This record gives sequence, C-alpha cells and structure tokens, in this order.
Amino acid sequence: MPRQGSRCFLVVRAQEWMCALPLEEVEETMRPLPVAPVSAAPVFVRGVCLVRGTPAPVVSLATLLGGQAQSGPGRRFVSLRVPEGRLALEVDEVRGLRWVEEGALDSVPPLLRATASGHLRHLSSFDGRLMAVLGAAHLLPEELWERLERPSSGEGGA
Amino acid sequence: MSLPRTRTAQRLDELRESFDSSFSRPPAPQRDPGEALLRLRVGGAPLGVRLGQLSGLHLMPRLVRLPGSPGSLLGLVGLRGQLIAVHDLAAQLGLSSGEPPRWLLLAGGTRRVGLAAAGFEGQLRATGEQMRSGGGSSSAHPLLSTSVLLPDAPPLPVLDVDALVRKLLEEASAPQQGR
Repeated sequence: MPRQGSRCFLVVRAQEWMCALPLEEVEETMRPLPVAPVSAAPVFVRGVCLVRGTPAPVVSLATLLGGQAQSGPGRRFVSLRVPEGRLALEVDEVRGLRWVEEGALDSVPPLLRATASGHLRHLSSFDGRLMAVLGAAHLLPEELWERLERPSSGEGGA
Repeated sequence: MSLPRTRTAQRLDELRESFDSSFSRPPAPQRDPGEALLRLRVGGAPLGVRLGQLSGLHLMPRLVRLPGSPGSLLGLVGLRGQLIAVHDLAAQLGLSSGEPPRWLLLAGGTRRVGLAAAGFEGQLRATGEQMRSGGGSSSAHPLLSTSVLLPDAPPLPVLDVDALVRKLLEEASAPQQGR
C-alpha cells in the first residue's frame, strides 16, 4: 500500500542486478523490438529501435551495470522518458511495481559511486536481494544522443 | 489433432507479432472528442443544448401553475427540496408549443432555472468544425445563433442556455429594481 513519503518504482532484473526505475520516468514495457546497431557507440548501447514512430537508443542494462557485453538479447524493453526524448532499456525481466519509502533508500557508498558508470542513485533491498535505484535522465551522455540523432553519419538506422 | 494446434500456434504468432510491432508505430493522432450536446424537441423542431451548460435533466415533476404569471412561465416544481421556476422553452424561442412539457432542464448554476422541453431525443457530439456560429442559420432568433452541421440532416440549431438564463434572471429582477 502506498504511504506518504513513499515512491513507486518499476522493478526489473538484468542478470544478477535487480533495479528500480522511478515510475514517473517509465512509459511502457514491451517485448524486444528490432534493433539497428550503431557503430562507435559504447558497449552498453545495443543500437537504435523505433518506439512509437520515433527512434530510441537501446541500452542494455546488464551491460551497463555489469560492464561486459551481454551474451544474448534481453527479454523485455522498458521505454523511458528522458530529457532528450525516449530511451529503451533492455532487461531480462520485469518484476512489477513496488512502493519504497524514501527512508528505505540508502545512499550509494562512496566506493560504488563511480561504478556502474555513476548511474546508481540509491541502494535498497527487494525480497532479500540488493536493489539498485537508477536514474534514467543521464544514462546516455549528451554527445551520444547527438550522434544517434544524426542519421546522416550512416552508422546505422532504424 | 496436430493440424489445428499448428494453426492455433501460427495464429498466436501472428497476434503476438502484430501486438509487438504496434509498439513501433506512432500513436494514433488524438481526435477532437467534440462537445456533448443534448438533442431535444421543442415546438415540434429539433434543438441542441450544450451539456456543459446544464446542471441536470429530469422527467418533468408535478408542475404547479401560478395564476397571473406570464405565458412563458409554466409554473413551479419542487425538486430535492428546492422550488424551481420552470420556463417554457418553446415560448421563449417564439415557437408554438403543441406538446406538453415532459422534460425539465436545470441551468443557471446555484440560481437554478428550469427550462421545459417537450422531447428528449438523444445525445450527440459535435467537433469544433461542425459548429457553425453566426449568420446562415434559418432561425433569426438571437439565442440560436449557433448550429451543428450534421451529415444527411439539416443543421441543428443550438440554444445558448447561458444567455437565456441571464435574460430570464434579468427579467425576474427588473420589477424589483423598478420599485
């Protein structure tokens, strides 16, 4: 039950990582869409797909957090609203919604702040497992957005 | 047994593919839902009334006529503990009222005003493109300056309920001011 001071998150799993995405940043979830690879992109960017008629970069959450290229494609896409537009996050599983009290969100220890490309906002627990709260706003650096929005580079397309 | 199952599996695949690909397509453009109007019958003719200008629609309660009142004031009704003056819409619009008033429209917000109509024929929605204001209307009545263009039907005149209520309230307060 939602209580005052609690926030709703969409909980997803990417390999061993259990992650919470602020629900206000989530648009919808879907099965994976066709992805066109983009060269010279960071390893966690799988490419670009077409979501609701607009191109959206596809970010592999497992690769983003794990640091290594994922062996296979994820089983779900989560479409996220970000300042630059829309982003598709590739995950293994969508676990559902969860209300978390603000007080239960621990800050990220200083040693971990630079890890996972600095995308961890908070740490919490979910069914006895570590749960990372992500911020979708800056998952992709600005220069990469600019590159993905310029199809003239011929480095891929949806 | 295997053939129907294969067909079912194929159909499921098609449905899944159709569903999945729908996420790629741009959202359908939002259409103007239009404004809700009630279609009434007043003086034997159809009349549109904006739903947003009304606070209620009721079957006409027992009407108590007032002796010496003007012809357009049909009388008083009691509704939820409140007395409401009921005006004949047909008479207000200069139409002949051959039918008894069966429906009561409430308007005027807290200063409730009752308007009587002979028939309630339904509800419709009209987009901004269908609403035509100003000249061109066959009716010269200033309260019917707007009409709805309908396919395969003559334009439906729309009553300006707010203007009518203002007029009725002004008329009701005029004798008191003159005293």
